[in-house]
Amino acid sequence: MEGWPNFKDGFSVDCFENRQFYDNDGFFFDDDDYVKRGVDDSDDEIRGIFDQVLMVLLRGLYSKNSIRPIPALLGDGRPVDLFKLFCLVRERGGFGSVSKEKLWGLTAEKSGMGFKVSAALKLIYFKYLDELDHWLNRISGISGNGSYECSGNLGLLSRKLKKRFRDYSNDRKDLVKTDEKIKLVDCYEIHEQIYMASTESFQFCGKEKEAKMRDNVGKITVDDDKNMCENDENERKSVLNLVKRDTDSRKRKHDMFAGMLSWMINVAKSPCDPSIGRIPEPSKWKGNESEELWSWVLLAREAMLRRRHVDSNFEQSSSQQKKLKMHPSIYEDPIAPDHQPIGGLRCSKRLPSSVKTPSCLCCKSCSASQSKLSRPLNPRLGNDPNYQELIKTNSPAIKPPDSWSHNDLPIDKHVSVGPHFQANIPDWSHVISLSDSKWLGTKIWPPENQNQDPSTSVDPPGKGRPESCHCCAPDSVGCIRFHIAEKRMKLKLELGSAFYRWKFDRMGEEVSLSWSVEEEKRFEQATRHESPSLGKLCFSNRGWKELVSYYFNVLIIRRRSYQNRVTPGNIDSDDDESEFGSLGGAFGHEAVSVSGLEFPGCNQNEQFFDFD
Amino acid sequence: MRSKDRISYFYDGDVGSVYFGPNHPMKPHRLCMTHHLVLSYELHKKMEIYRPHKAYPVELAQFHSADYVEFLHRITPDTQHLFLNDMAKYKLGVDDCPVFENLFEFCQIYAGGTIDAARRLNNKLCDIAINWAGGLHHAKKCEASGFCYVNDLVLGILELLKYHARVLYIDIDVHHGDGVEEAFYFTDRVMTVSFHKYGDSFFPGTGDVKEIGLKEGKYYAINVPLKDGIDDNSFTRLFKTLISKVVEIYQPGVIVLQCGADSLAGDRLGCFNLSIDGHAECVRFVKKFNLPLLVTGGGGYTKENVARCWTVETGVLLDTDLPNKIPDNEYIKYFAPDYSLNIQNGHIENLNSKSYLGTIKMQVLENLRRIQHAPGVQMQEVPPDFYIPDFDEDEENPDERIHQRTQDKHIQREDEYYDGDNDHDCNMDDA
Repeated sequence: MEGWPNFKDGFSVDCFENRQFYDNDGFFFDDDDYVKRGVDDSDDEIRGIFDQVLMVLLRGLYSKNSIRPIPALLGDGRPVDLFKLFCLVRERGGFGSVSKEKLWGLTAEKSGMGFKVSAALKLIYFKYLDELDHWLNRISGISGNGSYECSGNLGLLSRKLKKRFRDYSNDRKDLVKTDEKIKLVDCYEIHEQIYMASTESFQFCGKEKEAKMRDNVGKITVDDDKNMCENDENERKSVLNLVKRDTDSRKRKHDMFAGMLSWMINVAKSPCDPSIGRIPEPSKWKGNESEELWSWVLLAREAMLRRRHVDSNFEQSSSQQKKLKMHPSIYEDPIAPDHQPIGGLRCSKRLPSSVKTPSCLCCKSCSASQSKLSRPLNPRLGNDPNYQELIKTNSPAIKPPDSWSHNDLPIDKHVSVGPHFQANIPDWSHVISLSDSKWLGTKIWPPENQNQDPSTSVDPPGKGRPESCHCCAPDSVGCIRFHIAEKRMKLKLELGSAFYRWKFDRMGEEVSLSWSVEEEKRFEQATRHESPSLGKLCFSNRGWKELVSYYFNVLIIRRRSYQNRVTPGNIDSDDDESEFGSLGGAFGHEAVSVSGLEFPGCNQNEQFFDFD
Repeated sequence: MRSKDRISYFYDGDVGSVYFGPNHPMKPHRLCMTHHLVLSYELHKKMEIYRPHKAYPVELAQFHSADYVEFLHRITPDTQHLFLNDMAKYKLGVDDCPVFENLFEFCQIYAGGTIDAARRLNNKLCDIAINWAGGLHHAKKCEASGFCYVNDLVLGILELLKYHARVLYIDIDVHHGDGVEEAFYFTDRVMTVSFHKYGDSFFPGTGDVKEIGLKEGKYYAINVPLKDGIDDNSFTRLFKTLISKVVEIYQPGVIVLQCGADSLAGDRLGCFNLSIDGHAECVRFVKKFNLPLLVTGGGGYTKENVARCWTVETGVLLDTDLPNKIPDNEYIKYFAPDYSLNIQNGHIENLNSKSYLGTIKMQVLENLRRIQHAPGVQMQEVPPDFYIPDFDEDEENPDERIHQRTQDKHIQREDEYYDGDNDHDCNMDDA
């Protein structure tokens, strides 16, 4: 980190310029055209650099536990073009905007992956690219927080990227206004949240209060107006209209909220109940203006999502996140929804849990005292005088009623209790009926027919590697391989059938003997793509277990032996990502001369000395 | 010289050929490596090795909900897109718990191993049973979590509870043993003790010293939250102090020890500084109680260190000290550069101050003191069949509960002629 300050300046410049790339008055309205011009001309190099930057960033974030393979894959194994996805989403105003406008379907279409994968794309965007998005925002000075930790070579990559990007985007303008727009939407959402909280919790909605609320919204609008281009203006207007409609209808229908909540509870209890009514396909959600309960729920969820999104900005930039050892989505606990990172919301099944406690969620963020995450919401929002005023005005009113017992629960993740969590303890009896031996496992060793007499055993167990051997070239590759083969033969003789039952015949590099050189090459190619299928489709003649066995017994060991010799200071056999070189071709077939003979002399193995 | 304990060791050759997906830290191939190393040291001469039966769905449903088991049984990578809702419900998906080829078989093998191990202990066929494939302590009743799909430990403990009044569960994985703790949160018949890293949003986020159990189970869940970089000395001292006190007070009939190897220094996901000696010292200490002992694996994401650690611990359980130089074997290349059992020391700063550890120790001992004596009543009395939670009496259909109970009674019998699909038929008659 010592070199960090130097990089920092470079960073801001770099990224500022990077951001230019995304701004293009042309493409903002005509994305198809843009996609054709800018993204679809398959400049693999720029993608490569993009991927590298992303990888470094993700590693920096999740330290050594990066379970984020690049390229990202969909459930069906198709790789996602992250770069294209990033561009597509950025041009629509970022994750929040796209989610809000329900443009994921469109984005999915545009990306060429098909409408069906929109949810998956959204998830992938959140997991891979959202942080990049925040990072770009952050280092370009929006939050002014320079403490973000990042490995040094990021700067270099970033510069390269910048250069490539600049070549691409000479005529593109500054993107700041897009960010402004996002910012506005953020602010707006917060207001919406608070508004919802107050209406939902207390079922009252004084006209005065509402007017004030809308004033506040208006103020923000005015403040930001200067920065807005006409298009943003339009968009904002439409947003405002939407809200207006919402508020208006809410005025008429306070009871809807109570109805909605109980409907939601019903759905959660019995999702298949016919009384719930028909909910259209997600594709038809967009633009739906009906006043049915489910559409209310969707609106609520929308707002919740936004709220969490803002929170998660925080969580992720905080130092806690750096020490995270596993993916945040596994911290989910339905009882403490405010700890759920947004990743948990990838699926509509979560709807019930997110809607059940909307009001308490808002209260926590407003009164900012009950939650562990009780920092100011967002630096840019926190500084907004209007926003602060709003909190001041509303917070006394939003204290939860006493009856909300779940607010008293500790916020920390805790043990879930109830019949769906605890085990049923069986009867205790001091007599046990002798189980059939079939339920006790099958004895493999020692073999039944062998009378094991420890005294006849030649070697006492627990012997290590002998200090020296009688080979002519001790510790040479040939010598070591000879001893491995020797040991294997010995084990084979001793174990008899157990040798095969433990699949020892399918262990070690010998596995490669049944593979042709060409097959091995193809397999290595297939695994480069890091698909979970390990190139299953290319090897229809080989079973799945055979492929896995080859992968672990040959490919990974070769990678390891390459690391042992070429990069001994940096060995990581559990790192699947790094490319590895080759040590003079496949040696599976050459190994025949060693393992095929029973006890070959060492001098036959001189051909392998070049490995050292 | 044969050790006087009879040791049963469980291994299935198929368990290693499981692939969680690219870059997934969990690599069951470590089990192959462990077994291979155990055999290279010729430790098989001192023990009996069994291939576990593949646990039947009905056995898995002793703890897990039947629909979850059914779902695990059905889902494959090729059909997972049809079950997106269920996958979200059961927390399976792209991250920690991917759907991979032979997922269910993998669960059946490792769960079968732990269940068989428990049965052998119950039948007094051995004194110590080892199943390195087991120990997947995060899985919950109705969902997968943290690389764990089926909680073999809970299933094994449930099996032990049929014969033993009190079971002590000890967990030295770097992660909190939340699945086991949760399963037995209400009962005093299982005491769970977990030593783990806690704080900084470390997975799974539970395991505060204040989590002590509820209802009858109050004070029967012990958590020892630790910070980054704890070393051999402080860890083993704390471990010995607390465990000896626990055994003295609780007087368990059998001990289940989860030996997750991710608490070793240099683990891909862990953050402790334990050496293999320190880790194995805990095993040695637990063995000294001379109680029936079920030892399982658990986490461990730097494969070669896992193999080293569990091999050494197999040696410890067999009273065999292993020489440092690893014998030649197929996987010798993994043990480069020095081909020895030692692992590199960790470089993580020890954030556990003496006063911090002292406070934790005092709190745990204080909670232990509340259990005035071993719950003697259970020595004579058969405990009630089920814990019936009083807060949701209305929601649970009493008929169903009886139904469940009859079902449980049938299990033992069903096993005998179980042949696939229609294992619930007899229950239908009962109902």
